[in-house]
Amino acid sequence: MTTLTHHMLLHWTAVVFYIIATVLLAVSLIFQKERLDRPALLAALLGLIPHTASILIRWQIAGHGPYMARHEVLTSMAWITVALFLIVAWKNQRLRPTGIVVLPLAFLMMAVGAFLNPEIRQLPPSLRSVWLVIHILFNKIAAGSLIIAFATSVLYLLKEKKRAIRITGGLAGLEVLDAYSARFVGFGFVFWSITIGAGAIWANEVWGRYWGWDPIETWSLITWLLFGLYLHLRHFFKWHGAKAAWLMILCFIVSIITLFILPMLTASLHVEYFT
Amino acid sequence: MVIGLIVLLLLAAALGSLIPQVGAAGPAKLEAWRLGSPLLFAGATFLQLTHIYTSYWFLGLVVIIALALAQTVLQQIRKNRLVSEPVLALDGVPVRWQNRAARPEQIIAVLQKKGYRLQAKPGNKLLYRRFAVGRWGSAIFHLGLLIIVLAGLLALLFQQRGYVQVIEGDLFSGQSADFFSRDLGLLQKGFDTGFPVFLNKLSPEYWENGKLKNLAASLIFPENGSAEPEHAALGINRPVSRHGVRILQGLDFGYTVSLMHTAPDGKEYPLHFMLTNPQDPAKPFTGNGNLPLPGYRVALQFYPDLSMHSPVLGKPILWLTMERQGKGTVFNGLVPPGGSIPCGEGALSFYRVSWWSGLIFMRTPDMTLAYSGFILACLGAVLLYLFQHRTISVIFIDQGVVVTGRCSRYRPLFAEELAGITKELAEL
Repeated sequence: MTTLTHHMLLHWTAVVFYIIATVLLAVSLIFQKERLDRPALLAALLGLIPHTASILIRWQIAGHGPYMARHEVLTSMAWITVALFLIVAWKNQRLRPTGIVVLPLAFLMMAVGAFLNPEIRQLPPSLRSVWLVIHILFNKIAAGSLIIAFATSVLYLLKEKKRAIRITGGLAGLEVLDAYSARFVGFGFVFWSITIGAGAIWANEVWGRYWGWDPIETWSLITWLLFGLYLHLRHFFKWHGAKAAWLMILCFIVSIITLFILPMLTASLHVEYFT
Repeated sequence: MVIGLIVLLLLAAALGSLIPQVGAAGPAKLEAWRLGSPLLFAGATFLQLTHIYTSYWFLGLVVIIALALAQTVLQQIRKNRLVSEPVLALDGVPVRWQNRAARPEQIIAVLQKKGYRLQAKPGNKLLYRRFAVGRWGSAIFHLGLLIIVLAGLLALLFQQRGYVQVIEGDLFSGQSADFFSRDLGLLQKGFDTGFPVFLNKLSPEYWENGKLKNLAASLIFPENGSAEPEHAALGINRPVSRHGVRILQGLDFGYTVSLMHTAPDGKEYPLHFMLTNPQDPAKPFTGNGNLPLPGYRVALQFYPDLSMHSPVLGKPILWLTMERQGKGTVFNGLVPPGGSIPCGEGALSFYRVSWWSGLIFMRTPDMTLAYSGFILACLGAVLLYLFQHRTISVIFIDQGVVVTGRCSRYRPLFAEELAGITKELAEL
């Protein structure tokens, strides 16, 4: 077996573990069997190990970090998301059920990445900069925390409408879930700000302007403004509960469009990472 | 008002990415739009929707945003100076009782363990707070945004940016009129760099699959009066600074195919065709242009190597198509390096291959302001959302101790934290 086959084998092993973790968490939540939470987290942690190994192997083969081409972008984002989820679930027991949203999103990203474009691509010269690492790393942390915020918002709406699904279990109360949603958006907002800042400084170094209204730049700003709007509406206009959760879901969809859909549709200086 | 401004900026940014913009869309696309829907195009032009980000109404919006940000910063500073005073958080959340009186030192130990620091000790009260610096987050964040906006406005007014395509072995005069395109601030009339630049050599490096690995250029500054011309190495991510002007390596470059037109009287006219770099290494570098003979036009397809799969110069192939107005194609075939074909009464020969490179020249207002803004905004956002300021007041009364707290964000989470603290205090 080649090293590349090993890498894909580890990749799919991680996917299997994440699926197991999701099933356990779903059973725990729906049938109120909270004792399954720990095995679920263990499964997620066991998945993170081959996932890490898979990324490291690919890193070694490609000669650059996991930020070039769809496979690398999606798998590394899934890694950050799962790692963030594990930290959150370890620190706060009542947020463990968010895994039923976070983990499927993670393994979906991994599966899509593996099917879309698993081939290794070299780093173009414009992307060879320390700013790339800062820009990408903070963006992934931002996206990871926004995924968790999305999960808390979805669970808020489900819990509010108990008719739709029987969610009572160990999940935090509605007010607390709502506050966590805002907190993760705040966290994501901070890192999205740093992403834009680092990108602008880098653009000035490479292209001689720190802002060029490139489509991805513009939509990144739109996403940032939308999250800013969400935070302002919460703080000054007391938008809480279902209204805030729906707005969060809308903001999240826009962030997905910015990160993954737009690079496939527009001609931009940024699209190289997702082609 | 804040919400309104955010929504307006959102709409403007979204419009700018949906409507074709001058510069980004290119003249051909805009011309096609003008011809396709003249009325709509006229309306969009009148409203400056074809260059939103440099329109006067967008400038006005940015100025209003700057004013709103300045007002927010002042408000926040005023509010924070008031919060600096030790205040009893009696209107805070939630008030908790514990019936058994605990000793102050025990309460201090519990709160200190939770990261709270004693702010004041007025009478029978203890005033604690955590992440006191966090209350400045909003002011610092908005100040950072204000500085970024001001830096953007300065750039919009004073920036000088020019783009030029230079062939290896050619000199760029540095004169404003010689730029291929310029991007000037509203208060700038032109852009003279003040010095000429000679492109000595362009050295692209490729990966095995034909993708670009690196791009570097060697520049020479043959300034008047200096004994030795100065050399500089330019690369992507490695700009060169000279007399306040930054020179950046553009991402566009390609081969230049030089043809020599020999007129019937024996006079020679060199013609340089700067070819477009193909995305796919299996495709040729292409270009076209007019010949100095009236009605003659050529199209070139250039493969740097016989293999037709490598962008690296080996044994080159030039496929040339020559058309004459009214007569159609008069030549369509291979021209080897050094080869010659008849052209009207004279001849056309393929005599040289070199590189051309896009170079960007810029003189902008000091970027320190913009960078400071970014740093402040990031710092402010971190303080605002990661170091949330919280206050706890402990009041000793006859029946026991009252604990109350105040926070500006995530109230239910703070209520939980406070409940945990009071529970610990009750167990003392």
